[in-house]
Amino acid sequence: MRLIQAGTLLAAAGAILTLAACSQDLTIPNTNAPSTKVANSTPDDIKALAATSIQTWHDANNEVNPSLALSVMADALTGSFNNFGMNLSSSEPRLAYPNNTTGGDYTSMAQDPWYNNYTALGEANDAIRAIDGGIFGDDTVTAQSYKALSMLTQGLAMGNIALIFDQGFIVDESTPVPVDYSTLPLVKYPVVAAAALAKLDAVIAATQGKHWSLPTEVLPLSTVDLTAENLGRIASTMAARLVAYTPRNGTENAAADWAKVLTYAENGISAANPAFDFAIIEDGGNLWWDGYKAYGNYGPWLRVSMRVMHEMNPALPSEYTSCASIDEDAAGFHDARYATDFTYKPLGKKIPFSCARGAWHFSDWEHSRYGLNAGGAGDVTWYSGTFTGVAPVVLAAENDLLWAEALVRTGGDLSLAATLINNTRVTRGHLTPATAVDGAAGLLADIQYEQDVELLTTGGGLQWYNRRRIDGLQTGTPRHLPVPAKELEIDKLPIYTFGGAAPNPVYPDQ
Amino acid sequence: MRNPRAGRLVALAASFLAFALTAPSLAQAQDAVIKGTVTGPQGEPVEGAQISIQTMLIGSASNAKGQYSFSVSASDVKGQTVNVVARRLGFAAVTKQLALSAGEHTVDFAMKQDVRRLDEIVVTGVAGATEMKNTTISISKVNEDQIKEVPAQDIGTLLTGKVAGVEVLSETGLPGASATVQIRGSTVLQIGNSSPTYIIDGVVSKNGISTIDPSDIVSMEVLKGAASATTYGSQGANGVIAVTTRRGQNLEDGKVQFTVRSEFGKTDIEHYPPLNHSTVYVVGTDGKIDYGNVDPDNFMDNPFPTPQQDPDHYWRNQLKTWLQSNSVTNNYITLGYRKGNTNFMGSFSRLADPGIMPILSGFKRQNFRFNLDQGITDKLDVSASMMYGSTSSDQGQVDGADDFFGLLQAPPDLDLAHPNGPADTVLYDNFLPPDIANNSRGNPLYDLLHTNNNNQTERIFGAFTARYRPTTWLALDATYGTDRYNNLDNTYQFSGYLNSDGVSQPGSLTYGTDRDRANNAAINGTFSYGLQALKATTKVSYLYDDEHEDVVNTNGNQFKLRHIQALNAIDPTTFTANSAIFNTRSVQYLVNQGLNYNDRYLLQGTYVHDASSLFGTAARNNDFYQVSGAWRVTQDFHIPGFQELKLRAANGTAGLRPAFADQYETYGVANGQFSKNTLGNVDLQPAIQHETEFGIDASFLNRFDLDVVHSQRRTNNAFLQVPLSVALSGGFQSQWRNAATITGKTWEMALTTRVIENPGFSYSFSLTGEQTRQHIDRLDAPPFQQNAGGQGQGIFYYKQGEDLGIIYGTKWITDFRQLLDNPANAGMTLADAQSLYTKNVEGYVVLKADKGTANEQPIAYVDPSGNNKVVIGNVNPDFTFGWANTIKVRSFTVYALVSGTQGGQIYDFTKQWMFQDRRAGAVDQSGRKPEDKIAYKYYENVLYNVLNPNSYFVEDGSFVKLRELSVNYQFSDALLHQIGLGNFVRSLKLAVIGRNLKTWTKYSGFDPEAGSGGDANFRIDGFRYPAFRTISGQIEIGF
Repeated sequence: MRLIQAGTLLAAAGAILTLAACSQDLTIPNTNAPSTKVANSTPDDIKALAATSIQTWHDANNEVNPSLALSVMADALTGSFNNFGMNLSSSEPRLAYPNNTTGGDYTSMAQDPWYNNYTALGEANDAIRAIDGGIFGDDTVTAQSYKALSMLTQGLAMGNIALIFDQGFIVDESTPVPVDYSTLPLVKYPVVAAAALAKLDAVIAATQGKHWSLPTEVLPLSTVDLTAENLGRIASTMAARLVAYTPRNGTENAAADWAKVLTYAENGISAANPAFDFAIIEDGGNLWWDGYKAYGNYGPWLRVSMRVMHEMNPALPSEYTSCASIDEDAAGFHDARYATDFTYKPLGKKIPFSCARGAWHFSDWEHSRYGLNAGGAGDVTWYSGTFTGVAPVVLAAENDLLWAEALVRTGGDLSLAATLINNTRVTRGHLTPATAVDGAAGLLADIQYEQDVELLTTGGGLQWYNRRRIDGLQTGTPRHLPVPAKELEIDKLPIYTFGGAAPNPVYPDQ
Repeated sequence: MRNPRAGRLVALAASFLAFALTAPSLAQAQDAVIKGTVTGPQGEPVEGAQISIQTMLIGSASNAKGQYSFSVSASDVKGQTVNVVARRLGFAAVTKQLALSAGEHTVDFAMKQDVRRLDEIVVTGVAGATEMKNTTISISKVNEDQIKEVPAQDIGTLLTGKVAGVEVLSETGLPGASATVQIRGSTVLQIGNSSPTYIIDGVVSKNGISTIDPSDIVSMEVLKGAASATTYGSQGANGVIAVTTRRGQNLEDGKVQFTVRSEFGKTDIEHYPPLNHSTVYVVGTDGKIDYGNVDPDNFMDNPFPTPQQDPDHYWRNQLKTWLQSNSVTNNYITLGYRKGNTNFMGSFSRLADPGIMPILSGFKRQNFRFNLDQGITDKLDVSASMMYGSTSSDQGQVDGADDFFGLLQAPPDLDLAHPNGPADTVLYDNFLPPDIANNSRGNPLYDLLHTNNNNQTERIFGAFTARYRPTTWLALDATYGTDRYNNLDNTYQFSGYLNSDGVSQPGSLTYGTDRDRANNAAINGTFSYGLQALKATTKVSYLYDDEHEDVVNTNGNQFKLRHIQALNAIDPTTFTANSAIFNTRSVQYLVNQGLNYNDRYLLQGTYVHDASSLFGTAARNNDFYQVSGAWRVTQDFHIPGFQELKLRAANGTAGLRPAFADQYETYGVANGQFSKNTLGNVDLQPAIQHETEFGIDASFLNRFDLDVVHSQRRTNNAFLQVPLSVALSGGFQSQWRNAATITGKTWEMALTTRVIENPGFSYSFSLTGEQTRQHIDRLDAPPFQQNAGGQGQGIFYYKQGEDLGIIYGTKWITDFRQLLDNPANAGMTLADAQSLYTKNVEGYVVLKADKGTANEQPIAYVDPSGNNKVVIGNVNPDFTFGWANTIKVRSFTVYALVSGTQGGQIYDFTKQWMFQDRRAGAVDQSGRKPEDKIAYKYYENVLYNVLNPNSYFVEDGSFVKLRELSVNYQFSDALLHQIGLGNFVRSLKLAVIGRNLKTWTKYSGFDPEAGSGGDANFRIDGFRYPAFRTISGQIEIGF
């Protein structure tokens, strides 16, 4: 009897176990975050992805990293805080870039542009793959327009890599990902630049003669719609920049294809009516926000380098030698932009810049042209700033200056070059007009002045690009950044770096 | 029922129960009554001994006079011989044989004390209930008599110093915070994932232990590593702590037992870090500070004014001024009853601990528990364990970098009640005068008063078990457990809240909820059989668990309406919300085989098959195994002086489960945009720890019990979020992989002894010690920084081939020869170095030319490879120890628990932060000889250095702490009668209890018991709420 009872029990237990074993479904979906399959499944997803890619590029270009470090490396702005890699990057004598993964702002100043540009590129590549795969069906206009936008991101993102780093990966929609380093090695910056230029050329070709336009929110330009024509003109200007700014020194600058720059600039954003700035309207810091301007136009964080102030008023020193404030000497400024774009804010007692960190960091002037981006009403309210201003990435004036420089460097029409310079030199600066009589050297000097004064705090890295190609950086300033240590470690490559001036450890500056 | 599968299991378990109920036998003849007296070594009555016939699941407990009685129904009385066993904590079990016949039997027991508790039964991690002397694995049992003297606030604290190999770290003194418990080191390279698995009354606790009242606990069984915890499969690698709560089974038959315990105490801080008493500003002849002018000598050595010289700006110790002595109350009531085979125990407790911060009311916890056991027949019984707990706290802004930190950094020369002078109408004004408050971060008192933090949790925990023993060789049981947890976090700042600039803010409101529902069901069968001297036990189990958690967080920061504390009063454009759902499901099959040959040769084998939705789809099924054996040498050989010598060895595996999201390919969603996040991993397995351990358990000289264990562990496939090349991955940033191997070696020692045992006086102690070494053997990823504590500074840098717990940072040169390693100093000789440099009073090498000037600074070491981030410390102690002492003098009991560590370093971020604001005592130059003084920038700029880690702040973390001390007086029966209480008061105890009474250490911060992120590997002093001292009185009355 007991055996029967036990047997029954065992059978019951066995049945329970078997039943339970058969009934378990251990596949549980993650409903909190989408996978690629979910995120890129509809035409609207792909539109959003392409739009995200250009916005990611904008972040890569005009966020605080690396724009603030590059601006102090160029002695365009000055800041003593360790934040955003500023203190070390502007130390005198110069220090090598600390290429390591120990984190903090110095690590971010190279990692952020590297990762953000490749993130943008990855998004653009995914979008193009989906478009080429026919996600928009018969809607060829949508397919063409979003593909052109995505190709623009490809060109801009790879272009940024070529401008900032000594080498990079060339990745596009034809690259099977994930891919190993052994299959896809790093290549030097001129090769990356050429690949980027090919993408921008593709945008120019894809937009020529087309009449579609993309929704404003995709890229909220400040004055014009995002038509095929305007997209093509932006691509053309960005191509001119890429060719002009890729050179790392005077020799490379002289050897650059200035004829190409000329052609691109002639078709760029300042060329035809209406000329327009490649500028975005900030949306309160939600998606479209320009960290470079927000900090670069906020005196307690950053000031204008005395190198620039000295250019505008030679009576001022090009660098402080003590920590005492300097008198304004407003009369010494002849450029009308001093009144509109700059503010004298003597450092006084409650200074944010510690003297112990080096008097060379000091400046009594702040750039206030884009103050609205920094909150609009002075320093105190910065943190409650609305961040709804117009934030130029490339001014029409920059295209003019590239155009003018290309004319000068290709032996072109110097009068036209002077006219292009005067578009801002005279119109905004009320300075003596440049003329063909000034000659190539004179006009180039005027161009450099405009680049320093007119283009200040527009596109991230701009001043550094311009200074390095005329050998205008302080000795030991890196002329490009190394591939971030994190990427090198992942790819199991040796870590290297650039920059540094004696008595500090010295590495090549390029 | 929300979950159909769990529901089905419960239904099956219920049917199983109903089936069992159909087979009761009928009473026909006269019962057998077994009664007797239980006495101790001195012939004194032993109360609370459990006398039972285990094979019949029947028994009783002895009363205060040592008497017991129970009956066996006539249907089961067949003249058979049965074992009647008497058990009592602290005594060796006594077994007597009895031929069971109808009528009365007197069976008396004389019990002997057993310090080592060899006869105690353990049930966790073994095939069937096993006496400690017959275990083959590392299992430690902590009993009520070890934890009853000093009621703890959390379960972890109960284990402090009591179990070798278990490290308990109270990294914050924040009332209500659970201590960090880590067993034999780490199994992971992430922070805080080394906590053991807690089992409460047989059910896995999914929602921590902070809501459980430790007063309800009567015993804990601790399984220390993979070789012991294999039965818990992929949840066992960090060890298992199985908690048993108080039940009514040992109560005297037929009497209601009612106990009230009340504790009232006062809090204060035992040790304050040294503070700076000097200013760097010029002090005039009138004694007043000229705040605009830094003293040209740059030394921070000028005395602050006295209150007479400047009533507004004299020096105050803001910590001593504002940290308060508060009252802690802890009340606990139990009500128990047993009648025959029915018993229950109910308890209610209430803890109110305001901590030491001003203004806040602190932490409160209330718990209800009801445990019920019901014998249905002599073969079937059911049990229920139910708990409802709730906690509340208003301390959300206190710990870490918030208000405690604010108080620590507050300027000493201001009255924080009226920082801008008596005329300021704002009490505790958040705006501090900028000229005085260097790097002002506002007034912490203002925030304490005006930021309303409200954290509420509720916990419902239930375990329901049916046990059926149809034969002497078969036991079946089914358990259903449920663990439900609700958490609400709410923070409110009113519209008009002043920021530290004194500017009115638009207010903010945050609501966060977290709901977790975990259910599990288990069916176990235990088969006991034997052949002559060989006894075998086989356990087979099936376990199913699922968990559903949803979290919602909402936040808005612009009120449109004032004084309305509702989300709908907030400007919708400032509103953010996010939510997430986490579902998991797991099944486990287990076979556990125990073999016992004549209580001499013991063998155990375990096989576990685990499948979980948390594993990648291609790695869903995983197996774990364990083999262990022991030889009780003294059963075979007589060794003079040794009463027991057991050699044992175990080898086994146990695992860790990945987190919910780890296996999935994910995109981040923010502002309506998708961005690639982690690359999925279908091959993600549990991390698997392999452990081999050897142990010697010995009892010798009739007095000493010693366990020595050596354990070697290798955690293969430890989880790591491996960074990816965004370019080469197509945009994904990282992937969770089984990418690391961590090894660990532990030596453990536990010595227990009753040194003196006389009728009127006894002294016993237990001493535990351990040493653990941990190493990263394999890292299939680039070396990476691990941020913990402070403000996330990455002071730990994990590299293959290094120990776990190495601190990296800038090393200041203390030896001239170190200068020569720097490649930039190529060509420099030692003589050059000595001519250029000198040492300052702190032992750091500085430039001779700069010494004593504003430019004096230590020199950063650069190694021959040019690295300037080098090893500056190691958190691993040489050993840790715990020493629990009990002295009994007649009715007095004195209990003292001392614990501590030798070696192991701490990074003191608290001090580093205090350098920025010139608060730390170390920057004060007033006591130094003129030639030794160092300029303030040395501290404020170079050493503070924006909190970049450097060797200056690495300190020896060795300490000895008198953690608990209690003196209690237990009223004797005679005394109770003498004072007229004897007729209605069963017991009366008065006690004085001290906690965290005294720490001996060279560490300069608040408390060397520093940690971060719930992980003992991160000994970082990061301005945590300091552990405080409590001294209280307690009364316990039993009715």
